[in-house]
Amino acid sequence: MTTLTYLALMLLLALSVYASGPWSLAISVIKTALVGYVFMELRYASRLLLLLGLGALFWVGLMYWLTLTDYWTR
Amino acid sequence: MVSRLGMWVFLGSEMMLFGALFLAYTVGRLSDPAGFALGSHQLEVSLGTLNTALLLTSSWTVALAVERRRRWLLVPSLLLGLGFLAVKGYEWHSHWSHLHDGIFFWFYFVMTGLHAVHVMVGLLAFTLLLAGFLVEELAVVALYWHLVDIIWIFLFPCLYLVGS
Repeated sequence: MTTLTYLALMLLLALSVYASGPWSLAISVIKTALVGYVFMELRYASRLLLLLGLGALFWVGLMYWLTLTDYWTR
Repeated sequence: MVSRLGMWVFLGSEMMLFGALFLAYTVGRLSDPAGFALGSHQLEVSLGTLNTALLLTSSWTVALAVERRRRWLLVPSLLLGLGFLAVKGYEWHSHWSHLHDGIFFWFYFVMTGLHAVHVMVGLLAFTLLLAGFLVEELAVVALYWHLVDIIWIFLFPCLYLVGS
């Protein structure tokens, strides 16, 4: 599983260089999900840990949302 | 288990730190898309790709070290991390003259600089582990290293692959 994930990550890296622009950013999100789920063992995570992670994502998301709604609606 | 949860809390604060920097980058890029594309095109995509490959491979060997409880697997991780810093150092050296060439290179130096400091801390932790210290905390150090990898996964397209 770990080695398979690594091969998938390298394949995605090649793809992101080829895709370039906004698509490469979408590929980064997929890569992050793979690293988190397999390498960081989130697949075995407790509910407490998932709550903590989602909390961090929520606050970062709030910061982006509040700032970007301002910039995108000018 | 408790130390792992503690590391996740720390990683949450790291997400805030780099999240704010990436947000500043986004706002900068929205107000000057042409300048960011121009700056990005001066970077070598091949060197950025090489560095991404080095970090992804080091994350893989760290994950294997945790999974198989083999501390020596940190040796390739350490070497790959040093290779990453060597490439980064070469890049910094060749772009140093661009330091005052506008906001893109400000972001380039601040973000890769802060990330490189994180890499150095990780390599120090690997060295301590290999020397027989912190042995119980291998999984915690691994979590930290994977986050350093993830930050670079986002830095790579943001700095090297800005479409024109």
